[in-house]
Amino acid sequence: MSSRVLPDLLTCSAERYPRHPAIVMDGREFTYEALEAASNRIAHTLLAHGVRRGDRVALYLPKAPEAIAALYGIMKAGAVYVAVDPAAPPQRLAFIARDCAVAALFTHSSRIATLETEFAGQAPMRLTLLGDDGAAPSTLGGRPVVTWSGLAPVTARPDVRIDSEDLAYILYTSGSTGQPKGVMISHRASLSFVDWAADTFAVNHHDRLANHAGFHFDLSSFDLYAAARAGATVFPVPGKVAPFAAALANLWAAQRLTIWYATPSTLIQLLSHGALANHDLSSLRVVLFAGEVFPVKHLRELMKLVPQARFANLYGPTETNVCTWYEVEALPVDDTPLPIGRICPNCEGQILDPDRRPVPEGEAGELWIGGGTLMHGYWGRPELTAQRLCEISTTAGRSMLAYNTGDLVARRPDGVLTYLGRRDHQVKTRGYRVELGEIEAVLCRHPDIDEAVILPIPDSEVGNRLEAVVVARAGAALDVAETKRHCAQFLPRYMVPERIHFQATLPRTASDKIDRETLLKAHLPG
Amino acid sequence: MTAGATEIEKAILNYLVTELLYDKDIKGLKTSDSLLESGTLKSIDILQIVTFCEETFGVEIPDPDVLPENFETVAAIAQLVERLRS
Repeated sequence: MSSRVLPDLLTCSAERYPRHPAIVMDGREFTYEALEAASNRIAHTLLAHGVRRGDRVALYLPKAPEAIAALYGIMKAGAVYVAVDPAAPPQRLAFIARDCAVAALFTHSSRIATLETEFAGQAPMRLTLLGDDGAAPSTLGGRPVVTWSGLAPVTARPDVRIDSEDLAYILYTSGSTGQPKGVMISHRASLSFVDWAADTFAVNHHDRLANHAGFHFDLSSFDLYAAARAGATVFPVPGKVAPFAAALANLWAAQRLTIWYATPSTLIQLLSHGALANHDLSSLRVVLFAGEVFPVKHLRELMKLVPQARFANLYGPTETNVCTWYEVEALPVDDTPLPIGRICPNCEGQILDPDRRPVPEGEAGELWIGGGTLMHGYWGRPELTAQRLCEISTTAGRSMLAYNTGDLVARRPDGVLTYLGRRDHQVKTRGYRVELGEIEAVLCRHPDIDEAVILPIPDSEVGNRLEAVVVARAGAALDVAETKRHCAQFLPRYMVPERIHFQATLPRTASDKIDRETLLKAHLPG
Repeated sequence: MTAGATEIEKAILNYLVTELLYDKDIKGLKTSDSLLESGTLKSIDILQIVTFCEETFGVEIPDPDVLPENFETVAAIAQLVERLRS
């Protein structure tokens, strides 16, 4: 079992349930047999062009069955997939592609024109694959472009040695110094989560799973791989439907889904604008959410609409995937926030003070997580990895490699953990984790900006709204649109501040640091 | 901007270009261009467009009308507004 890897989940289900639908989207159906064959053709194509075990392959295309085939195909070639938000600007893709020196790019014909300048002359690039057959140039950056129907014809899985400790994928998350950082996840770590989740929620062959999260977001690892493990069907939400609560509610109800896994922001949108009460949701048996705090008043409403379903709050940063969980049986009457729950049995946790000593029960400390789901480290950042991944002592006195989540938690007498907040400048917005410093660094890159601060404005629907306070260079004619446009060139959309406030100066603390608290108070609504 | 665009279309175009589609090449945005193809508009942006239309044109856009087909293009949004006005 030690060499079990993610694509084995697909290969096994393709043997057991060849004609069962693996993916249904936009009226198209991919059976397990078809998904297995398509991903094998992709793997053979990558191998034929010299992509080797451990090489990185970027994925930059809108959600589609072909994109899922690509994830498996990349892993079957022994390579590591790097899914980039398809809505992110090409500059961000280019940064990530350079940062982890990708050997290939998987994209769509409609995007290739915007990528030529970004990829020209990139040394390790061997080829570009397309998830479609649209008109496209025959080369990108001097390397061949292979269209969907031009994939290698061999449909048997290539014989490639892959170890469970090999990397399966790299997920880029916001970095405080202004550049995203790549979280390296091994097959072993991903499977540890998938096995736990699939068992805990009894995912089976008859399940119909929603896939709302993008593949650059670790929520998707449940939708894709728990489904593949069980031979169940996954229903990716088309990009055009995703922003429309009413359309999403119509779609999910019509698809008779049995499992939803989404951020609270998404579920709250469905609740507020999706007219869920008018839909038959009787097929739904599990509702999972993660990524941010789910305000109890909204959750209570949702639970009333779907009384038969199990609800669970899953918690964990990208570096550890889900490491604690809380099954919601009864909601607190006073709307106190939901706990993050107990440590999952495949993980180990410790609550430590800044000197890394365990804190007494009930007191706040930082949550450290080790065990099965732990990341391998940050791509190309050994010093950062050493800072965040450290040996600590377990309760039993053993030494364990663990990740400091930076989340302040406290343990209740019954062992359940409650989330208290953070010490640093990381916030959640619409389920995404954002380092305020990354946006501030991008703003300060603008020649007309002297100083910038991002304020997280708490919001019961999306967690936090991001607003910027900007000090422009004296005499500069900088406006809101130009400032936003500048951000959008380098950042994914959820990181672009919704509002920009221009000020002549920023308030300072006694130690001459920017006084964030005063600024925040001045900009809070009401 | 597109020649022959209606007043409603012009107002929507102007709003999109100054507030939401700041990463687009502004001069190139036509009333018939797909706003959804690129995937950049998120649910929060759609709600902002709805609020803008409600406040600017004095209509109420019911939730069940907030669907991709009514927001695919500037022209489609303008048609929705006109339908709700009459």
